Amino acid sequence: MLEEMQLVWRFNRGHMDALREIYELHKHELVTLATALLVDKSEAEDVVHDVFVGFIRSGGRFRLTGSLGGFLATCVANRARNRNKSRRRDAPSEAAVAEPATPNNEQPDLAAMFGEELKCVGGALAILPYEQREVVVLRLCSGMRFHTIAGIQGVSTNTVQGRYRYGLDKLKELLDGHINL
Amino acid sequence: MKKTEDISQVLRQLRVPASSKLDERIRGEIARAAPAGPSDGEFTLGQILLLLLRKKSTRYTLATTLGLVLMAVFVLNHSTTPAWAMDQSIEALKKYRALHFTGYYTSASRQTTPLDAWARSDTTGNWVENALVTGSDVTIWTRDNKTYGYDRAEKKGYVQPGIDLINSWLGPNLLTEAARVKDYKAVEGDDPATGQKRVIVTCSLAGFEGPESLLMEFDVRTKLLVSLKSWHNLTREGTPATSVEKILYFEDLPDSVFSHQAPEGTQFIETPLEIPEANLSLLSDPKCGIAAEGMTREQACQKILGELWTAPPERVRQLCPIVATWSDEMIRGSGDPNNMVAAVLKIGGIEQTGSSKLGPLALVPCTIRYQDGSVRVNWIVVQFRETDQGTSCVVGGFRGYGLEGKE
Repeated sequence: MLEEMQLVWRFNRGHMDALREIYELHKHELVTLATALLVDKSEAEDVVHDVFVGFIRSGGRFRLTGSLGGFLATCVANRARNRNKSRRRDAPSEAAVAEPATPNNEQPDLAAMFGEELKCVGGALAILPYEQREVVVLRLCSGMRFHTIAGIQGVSTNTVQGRYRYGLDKLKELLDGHINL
Repeated sequence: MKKTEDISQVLRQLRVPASSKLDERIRGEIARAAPAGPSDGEFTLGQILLLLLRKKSTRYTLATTLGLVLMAVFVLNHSTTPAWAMDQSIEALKKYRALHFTGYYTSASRQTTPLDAWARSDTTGNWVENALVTGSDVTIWTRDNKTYGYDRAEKKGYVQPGIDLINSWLGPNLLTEAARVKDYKAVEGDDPATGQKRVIVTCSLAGFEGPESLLMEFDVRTKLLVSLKSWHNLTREGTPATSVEKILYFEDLPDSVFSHQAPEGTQFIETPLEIPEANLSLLSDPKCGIAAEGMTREQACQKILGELWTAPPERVRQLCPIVATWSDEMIRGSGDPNNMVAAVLKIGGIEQTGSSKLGPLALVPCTIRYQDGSVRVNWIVVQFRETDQGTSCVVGGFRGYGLEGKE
């Protein structure tokens, strides 16, 4: 935490090496988070890029109130949610009645994103309703607390816990027999 | 049946590494935001960014000045549409390929600063091939189809692909035409100081770099442009942004005139990708552009630019709202084979990113063969917009060209 505060202090004073360090420290976890949320690595990297551009612009006036990783993860989650909303709004109507994908579908992109072993996890995440996916991913990939996620989603902690439980159950069902645990 | 805890464990192990492309993009953004030298701790990053923006305006002003003068000289040289005595000026200018001018520009801090510029056109007379512009603290020059800048105050170098010194898009002839569509006036009078007859031409245009109005003075005897003033508004209000007071014409100039060497050890960073604030309202029109939902930015750029070059004029105005006021003829290239598209050879990948108040920006090179057989790379800015209606994009502007010779 002290190290993060020092980084932010240097960043606010125009030290670009601090900005580079911040990026290097958090880049993989942010790309993982965005990819798990959007199940599209290219879009995920656009989101992470935009978050960093916004962060760079906040230089000189950025105030760290919690953890830096948590702040950046929240920014990624917010941007990813907006992207997902836009996607849904403009999705062709046939998509709504199309057969849902199954986690064992041969999707080369998933293997490229998550690796051969975990590609079905990506496939299963893609099937979850977005709100459930967001809770599961923020909780498990970013280690966020339920009440923080509740703040991000604008719902009660109970609702978030419910979404988490339903999300995990659905994942368990989808992944049954498709992954060696 | 898998246990919930096991699935949690698997998800915790999920790891998607950042690609080297993302690394490059972010490092580029950081480099562009970087202050000139080691920070002394007195400046905040916000202040440094403001400083950079102010300096950028200086470079922009210098480049714009050169663009305006060249537009008035080389472009008219090859304009085929007669207007007042312009056809005579065109004839008089034909033997000149290069020029030198001196004058003043008003910097962002409202200081009047001297400027000095050398420029030479390509053999077609439509495009700047070499230029060297010097202001009090900034020098801009072109080399190998790139535009360089060196800020002496900050000891910092800038570089961007393409020659980006003249405000035009599908060809400078279009801007000559554009100058005619809005309040174009030519008035003849006497200059009591020299006893010479002068023609004063005023006009205004909304180009890719924002609104601009001009006052040009032509010598009636020689038919040559002798001075020029410009304003960053359509009504010539306030102190001129630039004032070119003396122009010398040359049949040609040697390459050595244009050579410039930045101090040894200068690091060149990418010039930030931006769009003039004055153009943002046009670019925000939700009826313009294409939907980019479900597409990566790369795909969206390919789609909109793939369509742009061969679209009919009414569609071009939708894809690129900045040309909304241009006539069909202007959009098609004003009948000049050097400006009329024969084939789209390649739409490249995103080379640089940036952002405006509307959203992210992407810079994409488009290699085009024109009807006279010449090939040019045009760097086009695509503006992405994220609104309640979803993600969409429009063509936001032109940012330089590269001369590739003939096929």
